[in-house]
Amino acid sequence: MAGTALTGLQKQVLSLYRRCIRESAKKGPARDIFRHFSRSEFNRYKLLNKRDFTTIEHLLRLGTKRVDTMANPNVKSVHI
Amino acid sequence: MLRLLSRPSLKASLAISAPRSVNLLNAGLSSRLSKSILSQSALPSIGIRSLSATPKRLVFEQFGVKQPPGYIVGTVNDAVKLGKPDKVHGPYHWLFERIDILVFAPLIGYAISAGSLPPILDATMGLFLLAHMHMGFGSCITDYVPKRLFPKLGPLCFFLLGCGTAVSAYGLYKLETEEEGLVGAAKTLWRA
Amino acid sequence: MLRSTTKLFKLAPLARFQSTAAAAQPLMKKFKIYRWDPDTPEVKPKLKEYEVDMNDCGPMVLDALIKIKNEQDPTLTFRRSCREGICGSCAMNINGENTLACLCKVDKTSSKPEKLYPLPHMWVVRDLVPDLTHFYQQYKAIEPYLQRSTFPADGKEIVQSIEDRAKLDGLYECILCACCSTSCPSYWWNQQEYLGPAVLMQAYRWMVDSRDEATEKRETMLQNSMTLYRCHTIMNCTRTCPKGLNPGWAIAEIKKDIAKASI
Repeated sequence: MAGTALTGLQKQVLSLYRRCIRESAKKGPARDIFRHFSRSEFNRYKLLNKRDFTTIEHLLRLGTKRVDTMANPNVKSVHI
Repeated sequence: MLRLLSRPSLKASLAISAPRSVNLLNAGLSSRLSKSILSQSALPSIGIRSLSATPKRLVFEQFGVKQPPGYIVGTVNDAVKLGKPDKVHGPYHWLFERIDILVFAPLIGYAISAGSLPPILDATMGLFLLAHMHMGFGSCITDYVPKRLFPKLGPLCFFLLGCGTAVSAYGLYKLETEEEGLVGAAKTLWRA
Repeated sequence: MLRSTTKLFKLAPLARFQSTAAAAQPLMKKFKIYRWDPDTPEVKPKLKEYEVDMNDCGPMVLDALIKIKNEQDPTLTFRRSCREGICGSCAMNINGENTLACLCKVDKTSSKPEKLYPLPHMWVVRDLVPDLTHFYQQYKAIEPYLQRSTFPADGKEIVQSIEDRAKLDGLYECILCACCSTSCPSYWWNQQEYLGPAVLMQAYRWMVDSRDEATEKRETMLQNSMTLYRCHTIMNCTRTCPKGLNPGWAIAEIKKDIAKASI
């Protein structure tokens, strides 16, 4: 990706993804399940058009909400 | 995910409207195939509505402003953080706006009915009218170019407004000292 | 008052039965309803049209919505609860005006379709359901509860004169349906910083309460260019309020009180 500046939206998506992985890592034995879940959720919209800003922004809002829930230490597992 | 958002727009020409099932299938397939989420395989680009016009969003992005998702800061149970108490921009500003109108509105009424104003009153009216306009435009700027969204453009607008007001104040000074004052100028314009 | 209301309810089913029997001809009314599904976020929102026989349906928009959901499209999503304008759940934009679906009559004489949208300038959760999280966060910010340091020695209630109680009329009835806030252009542009009419009216409700002792604190926290003073007396709030309250007046009172206190 050398030489390509990321847009603000792309940075937001990446930081959300990083946060998902970081939060998953705190989950002890269920770490892999959370990691897999986060990745599969990101993969679902892999083919979304990069100019579909409203959708990406919606998914960002949704993702932030869900990772907030996930970050709660009382959340032990997740089912796909 | 990175690729998803940075796919060259050249592929827009390939864009076809694909049914959702196909999309999901592809996504599922690629997630099984690819080792890392960031190393996306060379799947054919199936984008929807690739040829959309540049949306408003880009305007914000150029100034590098990140808004909290859904405006939610903290958890849903946290209260919104209110701005810092500031008397000058709060009640004093509001009060001065009212007093300002009370000063120049009767003067305008008097000038229209009498046809002329003594120079001192004329200058007062001009000054307060200018202050009224300055605050009015200032209000527009805080409404539509807020610092929250435009951290650079907002203050720039205020600076330009200040420049405009300063030039107008100088013009007003010229009118009052060298010409026949604000009411006289309005009269000349009316007859011209 | 209570008794007469109960009587009305008892009579209501009978009256409805009669009207159905009298008019055999179906009276079809079109409803255009905003639809958006978060499960397919890449599909853009659209208006979907439904037809309802108004002779076989209650008079309000909410009755029609429930009928559509029951008989035509179970995926249609909206909030509703009390069906009598006291819970504020079914606030939506009906024919361009924010109101409660349960208090808004369907215009049977007009052939124009009724257009239903969610509350404007709010994030949509699904169909007619807006996300009010930020609105509630703002409500929390004004600390909407009684604050005082001294309490009556007898440990009983804090008494209030009749005049002081009368000051709360027209303020305490607010059900926080967010119709007024979402009709306010200032709130549309600056809702992250401006509190909006509904929340400001509640702020005033606690300021004028004679039992509350935190008036000064409440006034201080509103004193900046955004939180309160983005109100430009557009008065959309007062026009749209389904409960007939006057948030615009309440905000003007706050401004006056703060100005008096600051001189």
